[in-house]
Amino acid sequence: MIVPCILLILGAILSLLIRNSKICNILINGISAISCLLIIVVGVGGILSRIVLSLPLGLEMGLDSLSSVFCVVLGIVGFSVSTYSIKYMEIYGRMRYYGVSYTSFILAMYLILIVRNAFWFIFFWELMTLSSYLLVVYEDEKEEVRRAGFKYFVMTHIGVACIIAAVLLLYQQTYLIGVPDMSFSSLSEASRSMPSSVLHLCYLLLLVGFLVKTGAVPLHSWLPDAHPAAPSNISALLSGFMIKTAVYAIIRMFFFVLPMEFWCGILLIASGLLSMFFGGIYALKQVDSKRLLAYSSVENMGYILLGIGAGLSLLATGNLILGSIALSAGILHTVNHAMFKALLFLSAGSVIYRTGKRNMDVLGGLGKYMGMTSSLALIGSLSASGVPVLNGFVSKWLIYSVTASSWKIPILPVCAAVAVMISAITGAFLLKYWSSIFTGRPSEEVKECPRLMIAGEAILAVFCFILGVYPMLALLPIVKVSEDLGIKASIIREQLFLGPFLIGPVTISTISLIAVFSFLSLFLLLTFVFLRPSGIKAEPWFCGTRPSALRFQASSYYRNLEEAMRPAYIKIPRITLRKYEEPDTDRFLVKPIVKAFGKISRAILAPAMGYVQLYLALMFLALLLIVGVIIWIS
Amino acid sequence: MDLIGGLINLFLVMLIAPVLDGFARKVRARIHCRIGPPILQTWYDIIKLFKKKDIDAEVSSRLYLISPYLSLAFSLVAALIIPIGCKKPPLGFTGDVLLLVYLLASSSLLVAFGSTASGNPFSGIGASRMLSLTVLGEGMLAGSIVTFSVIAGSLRIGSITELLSTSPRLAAAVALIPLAVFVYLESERVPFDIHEAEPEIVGILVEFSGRKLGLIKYSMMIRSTVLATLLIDLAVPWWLADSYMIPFYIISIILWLLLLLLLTLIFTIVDSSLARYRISMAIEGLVPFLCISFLSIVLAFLGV
Repeated sequence: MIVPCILLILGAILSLLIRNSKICNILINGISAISCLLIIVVGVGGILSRIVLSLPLGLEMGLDSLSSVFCVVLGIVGFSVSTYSIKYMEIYGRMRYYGVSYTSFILAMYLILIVRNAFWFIFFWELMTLSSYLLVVYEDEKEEVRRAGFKYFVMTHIGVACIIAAVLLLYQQTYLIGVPDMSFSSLSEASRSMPSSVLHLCYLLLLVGFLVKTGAVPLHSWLPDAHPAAPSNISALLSGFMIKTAVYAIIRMFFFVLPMEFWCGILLIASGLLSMFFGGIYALKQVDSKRLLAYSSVENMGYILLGIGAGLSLLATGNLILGSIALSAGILHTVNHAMFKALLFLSAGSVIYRTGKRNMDVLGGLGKYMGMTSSLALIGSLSASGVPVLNGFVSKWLIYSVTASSWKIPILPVCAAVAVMISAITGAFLLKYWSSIFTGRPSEEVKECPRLMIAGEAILAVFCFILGVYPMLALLPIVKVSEDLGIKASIIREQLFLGPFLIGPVTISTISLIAVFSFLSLFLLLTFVFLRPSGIKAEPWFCGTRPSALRFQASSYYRNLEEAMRPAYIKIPRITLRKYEEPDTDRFLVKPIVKAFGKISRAILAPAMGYVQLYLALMFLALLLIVGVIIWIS
Repeated sequence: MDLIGGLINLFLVMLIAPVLDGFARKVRARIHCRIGPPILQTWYDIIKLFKKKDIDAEVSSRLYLISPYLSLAFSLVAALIIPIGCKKPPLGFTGDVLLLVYLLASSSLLVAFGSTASGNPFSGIGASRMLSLTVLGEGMLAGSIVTFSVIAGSLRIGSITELLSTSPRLAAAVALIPLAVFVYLESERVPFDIHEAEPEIVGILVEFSGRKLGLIKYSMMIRSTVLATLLIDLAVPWWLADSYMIPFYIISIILWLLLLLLLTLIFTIVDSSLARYRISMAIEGLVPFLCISFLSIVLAFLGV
């Protein structure tokens, strides 16, 4: 469990020592890839048997099914992204900066999954935020990158403040019940004896804190800015895994640590619904390839939150079987989304690697030169739009089935209907993404990407396929999560068919489902066997006009639909930064606080203005101060 | 029995789909005061297209070549989970109704991807129009299907038809409206044949020829037949036999044919009396039905 950490720390130190940026690049990414493989091993070990580890300073670690599943996902995504980055990062400089922040980013995400102590959890959460911030502002010579980074920094810190407040409230209670300790188990014990009003406040604070990180509407506005600003391999990690750590945290806190609460589930469902809807319709409009994918992440987080929220509210009202299936569906979609979204971001990165462009209006026809990249992007797009036998379908279908059959909570079937509709929107904007970049008349002549980059994407594509054909591979460990929740495994097992596909709660003739999919696979197989290209090729027919005169621009794909849905494109209250220092946000809530803090910190920071090192040193001091306060209280 | 039933379903749908199209052409010709082609003409067309020498567009993606086959495969699998003749579909399970939605949507999505893969900007326009309509269509379909599942308390087509045949409900009737519009929309008829676009060049089919064109047309016909069957199943579930008992089963299949012909007749009359919409008009025209479909969910919960 500790080996990957040591390796990553070693990598960070080495990257500081080595001056040659080429060697440094290979070394950092190589080390990260190896440690990600080790993380997979740890995760698989954790699925097979429960591991607990206690280190000094209250640094308790543990691996249960939930952590293990997320560890394996982190390992897979991290491995493929690191493989990809070896070549991709060649176009960027500043390897030492990259090395330290990249390795500590992976390290932090890994540790968040395995720590069992709220203090260290927040510590690593902060480490993750900081290192990812540094990676987002990698190209800080650009104005918009700095802005995006600053917005990300401010918003996530508002979130962190909420989390810290909630944890401190809980911690106070542990003091009252006589076990002053910040480990999850004591916090859990404390929460059972808490006055309900304070507990509800805790719930709310934690929800806000974590929802900021998941990028759920209306707290999403950092996400579509930060993802395009970062280098693409980093966006793949941000979208592929970082926002999922918040999903992990939500499950950990609301299912395991705190008593399950019905209204939290409803709130999660509501924010999921909003994210789905607005993520979807805003993605339709985007012209920037990575921004489109970022909104698509918002949308997919909506699906995940819907699944998890349904699970929470169902479990809290005693619908154990439906609830645990909903939870499993949510986690399964988390896994699947990690695979296909990382794949899509990497494919967008490949395009940037060769052309340097993100604007889909000027890109086109790259599939002629980048055949593999185009096919891999296609697999990602089809998977995300939920075409059967690819992984996106299975989890979406599970989410619909379980929400549509939760008649006891009437909002859920409505959510299912909306979700199906949004899924069609997903297909629409991913068609726009794929076809406007890779099909049509080539906008420029490029070469195919290096093999290592394609290999990194191919790993994810293979997982998209495997998890689509055999989702049980992911579902078996995921079902164990509900076993950990104390729902009798036998009850779930009775209702779930543990064959190639997981099936809804009603007992059914399971053979049928297998039959459907075998029929489908048979047809697909026949397709490939009997497919013979005719051999006669002809230019596409342009109605006699000059081909160069014709272009179907990305921005005009869904203009009519956007027109029709104009009322839906309301301005979601979002933080817009006019000046660099002054976030002009929700005027009554955030601005006064920021102003006050700005004044105080400007007074303190006056000598340090402009020196990053000093800033960091001060932040470190502040952190120490908080630690000191906590120790002093206890 | 499930397997045999499945094969019968496949056989029936594959056989009948082009006949229905031929019937529609005949009816349309009669409305135009023409004699019209023989009813089997669509079959002859498909066979001719299959025999033709195929020409491929100079393409960047293999998907262009594969997508007609994939689309057909998805449509055919959808035929397996629809009850034809018997209340119990050959392959029924919880959530099959949602799988049906996905199979049909994937079938058309793959054609859209395949047509843009041809590299022709006109097919790109066709695909984008098609998906614009699909977004609203899927919403309508999802809304009405959720309504049915709430009424029946089940996500299986078999149980839904069974329940509807014993106790009809108002909410079900309301949910049938958007469903019928969706079925009409998916059968590529005026005023919604914007993306297929017989009278103009801009359309998803522009770069497909020969066998590929035949496959896509065939797949579209099968899709609309499956959807029409779904509509009949849910609107008048009484014609379905309770089991695979031979006399009832065969009578029920004959009834199925008659009902399909009736539905085609109605659709064709509507089709020939309307003019084609512009895409923006079509989108705006569909929005009220989307609202109705979501309204029907509410009605279902209110217990009407």
